Amino acid sequence: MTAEQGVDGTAVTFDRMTVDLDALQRAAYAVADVMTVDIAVGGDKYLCTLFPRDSAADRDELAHRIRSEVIDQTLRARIAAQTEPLRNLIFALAFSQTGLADTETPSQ
Amino acid sequence: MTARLSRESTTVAPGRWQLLPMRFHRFDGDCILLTNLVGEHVFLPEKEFLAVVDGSCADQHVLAELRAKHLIQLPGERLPAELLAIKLRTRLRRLPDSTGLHMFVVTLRCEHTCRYCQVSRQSSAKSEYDMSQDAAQRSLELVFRSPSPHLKLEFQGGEPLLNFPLVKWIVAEAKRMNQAYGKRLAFVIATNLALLDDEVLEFCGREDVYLSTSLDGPADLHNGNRRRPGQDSWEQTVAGIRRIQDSLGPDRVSALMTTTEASLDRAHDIIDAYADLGLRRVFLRPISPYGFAIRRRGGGGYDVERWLEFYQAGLDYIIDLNRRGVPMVETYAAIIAKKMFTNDDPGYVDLTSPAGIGLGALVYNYDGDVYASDEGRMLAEMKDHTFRLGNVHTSSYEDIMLGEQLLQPLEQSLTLSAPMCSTCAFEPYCGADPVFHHATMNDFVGQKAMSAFCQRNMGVFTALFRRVRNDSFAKELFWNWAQQ
Amino acid sequence: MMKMSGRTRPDGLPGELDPDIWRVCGPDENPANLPLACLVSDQQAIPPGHQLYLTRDPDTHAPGALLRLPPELTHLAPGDIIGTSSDGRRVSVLWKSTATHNSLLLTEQCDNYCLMCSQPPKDRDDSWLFDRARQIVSLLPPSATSLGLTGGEPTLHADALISLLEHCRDTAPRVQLHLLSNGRRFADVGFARRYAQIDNADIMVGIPLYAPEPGLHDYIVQARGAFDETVHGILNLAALSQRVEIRIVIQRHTVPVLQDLAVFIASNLPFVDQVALMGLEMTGLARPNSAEVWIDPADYQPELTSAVRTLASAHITTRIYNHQLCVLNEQLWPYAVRSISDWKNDYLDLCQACSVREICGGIFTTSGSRLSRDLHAITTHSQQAAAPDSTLAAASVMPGRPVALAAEHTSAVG
Repeated sequence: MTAEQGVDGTAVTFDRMTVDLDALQRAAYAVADVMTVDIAVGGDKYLCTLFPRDSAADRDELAHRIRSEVIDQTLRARIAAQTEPLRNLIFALAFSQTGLADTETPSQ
Repeated sequence: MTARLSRESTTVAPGRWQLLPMRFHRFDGDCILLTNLVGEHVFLPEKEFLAVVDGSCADQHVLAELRAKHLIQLPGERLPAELLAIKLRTRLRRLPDSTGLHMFVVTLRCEHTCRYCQVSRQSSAKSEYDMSQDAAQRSLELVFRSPSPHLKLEFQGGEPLLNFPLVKWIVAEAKRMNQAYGKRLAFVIATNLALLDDEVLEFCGREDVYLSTSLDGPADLHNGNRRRPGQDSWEQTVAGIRRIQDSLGPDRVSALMTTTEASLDRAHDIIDAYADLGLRRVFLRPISPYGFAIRRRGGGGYDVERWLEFYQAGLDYIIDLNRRGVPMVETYAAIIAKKMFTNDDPGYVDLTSPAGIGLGALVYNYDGDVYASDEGRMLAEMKDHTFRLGNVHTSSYEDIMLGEQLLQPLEQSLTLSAPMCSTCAFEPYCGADPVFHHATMNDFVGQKAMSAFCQRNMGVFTALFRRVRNDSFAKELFWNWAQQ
Repeated sequence: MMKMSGRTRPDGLPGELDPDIWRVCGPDENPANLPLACLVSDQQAIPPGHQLYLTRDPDTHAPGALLRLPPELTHLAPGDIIGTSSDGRRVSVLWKSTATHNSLLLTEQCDNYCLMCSQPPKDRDDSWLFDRARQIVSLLPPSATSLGLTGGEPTLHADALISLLEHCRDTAPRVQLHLLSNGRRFADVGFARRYAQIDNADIMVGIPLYAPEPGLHDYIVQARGAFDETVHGILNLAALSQRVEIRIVIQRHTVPVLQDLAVFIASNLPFVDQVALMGLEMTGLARPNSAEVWIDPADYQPELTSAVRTLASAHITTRIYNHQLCVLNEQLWPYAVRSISDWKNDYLDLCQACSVREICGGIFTTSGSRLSRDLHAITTHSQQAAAPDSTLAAASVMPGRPVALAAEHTSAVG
């Protein structure tokens, strides 16, 4: 959705092939203290409009900010995907009823 | 002598490692702070961090450090996961031991009119604002339903010494009831000390009761905040502290400060005031947004950045005191340091996940109403009863602990699943505060990007880590605080 | 330094000496159902009926088999345990009743091959060492308070070890046991359980750990997978409430990671009963590898101090062994144990003038040329201030290994 009146937004686009929508939404959430982000789909791009909370904000800085945040959220998602099986294993071990020393399987 | 196993063969080959659960935070300059599942940390240059994630890192020192800190492992290894699981289990082991802290509001009467007071103030005469013995009895029955092997009963108000007979009764009755339970009991009276007399001292000495008081700083600051007839709150407090130290010993009394706008430029003076009294611990606290603080013209609001400047000035002053041989502790840093450097639980109900509401603390109000936290009670003073869990006269323990009033905010605010918290590198040190977020954002979870709670805590974490990274004395000091 | 073996002159032996392990007793002790060797001196009433007599005096005669002791063995005293060759011409001292530490070598086999190993592994059948140990335990004098069990790797002979520990429990229940092991066998839960079930009253396993991660540790002990098994072993022992000591030999490879290792222990193994930081003994494999492992103690005081403070602050009992006081940072003296066994320690000429000589363990006789450049007599220090805890020397169990003992005994009887 877009606001019809008020300050003009700054447009930033992201390639749908390399940027995950989830990462984009998380990035928008994380920068909500300085801007609100409207996300639309246009062809093979995500069309984002940045609306600063402070009208005196530097537009370029906002664009840098959202782009860096998307990079970081993408990185987080990548790490999470890679580590999820081990994370589940660790939690399962932590909450298991038997003590770790009780497992009869030898190490290695 | 030729080694059978070469050093080369025990190093890590390129791309031949697996990432263990990790979270990162962009630190100063090009530095990345990396934390593992249980809050152990490593600093890395950004380039190196990215190389670790994509498998191209060739720096054996970095790889060895990451293996030691359980941030990476080699395929097929089981030990890292097992050690992480053990440490995780250790961090969570107090979970079943609810509820450790029980606060009894024995009266709302008070002869002070502190500017930031978050409780209804009533003149000293109205005894209808006292807790009844019946309410106290029923409260104790609920207290002893807690599984926790340790129970701390804290008497609050108003000014609890205005209802001293009930305090004495509760202590005696709790000890009597405890004969059937065998728990470790601790008692604290949170008092402004103006009414401290021989009878109170003798009682506390005999019954092993501790005293906690408010000391906002030097006289002008303290009296400016804490009004009483005669304008001598500071003098009364200091005299009371000395009196307790002399007759019961220095460990029997502790002091807490409350930060106001006026405090923010006075960090050194406040700490000096504590040091002058031989008090070894200072807790540099933020202002809470509740009660009269909000009602009074915006609550004497201050911004988080200013508070963080105040905090760091105080922290650095305390570090320097230690450098000069004065063993002062900053309590908030010590609580966080314990989470950074050990897997022990500091037992601080306001910075824990799951939140400390109900599980960590319960409040029994003078009228029998039970609240999930002290702040929850303050909200009720402003007609918001979200955190009222029941009443001692009508609610069972199950009603209180298993009702939706408590479970909803607990579940929703859990940091492991909250947006932004779940991916935050500082999550192992932080906590959930559904009461704060409900009060300020009308939501148990809170939008962390705009949360003063988040901003403040992240500011403290980065301040501590900056000192850990740049000052080896501070690093060792924090390690020692963590072990106490 | 005390000699632990020597040549004796047999006198009046009926044939081959049997048994081969004896406890020395004084003339006030009567013959018993134990193999006692009665130490007699001139013109004393000599009790008849002993299976074996010992004397330092050339003019004394005994009413039975007698061994005449050489000058270097005049330190023998009642309570000591000796081994004799069948022809009576060689005697080894296997247990010194006046020593603060005594150890029994159980095997020379090992599945690690540490760069600085003071007891280089030998791959041959030495099961008789366990038998020997069993005999010695049976003969321990009432004054015995502590006993070290070492190797090689004792747990390689699981049944023999378990059996020996049970024997200790049954025949010498009040003796404090210190078993040295690389810990790897304890990764096998079954074995760990067998060990725990023996239920010795006072036993601790000393397990070396040299790095906070597998890469460096496995390299130092020259065995892939060792770190994993060792830490698993420690965890299993802890889960079974067994006492564990972690031993860290300070050498050139471990110095840079000493602090990280201290943090690793505090974070992952905080339950250990003790951490022992050991000075390097230049013997065994440490000699050919000396270029790789030797580091002057004067050069690692900051790292050592940092590691000790880290562990001590985390409430982990920390001890420093095998260091001369003059090269040790004075703030570490309270953690230092006077640990070099009296039969392998020595002092330099410059030590004569030192005011703390009595509480310092001196140097290893095996040090050769690898001595700290910083060794010096302390003349300004008062002995009262910050002295090492001398009670530790008496109470603690041995850190070193009786190298000379085993070798000489082997050649005598082997």
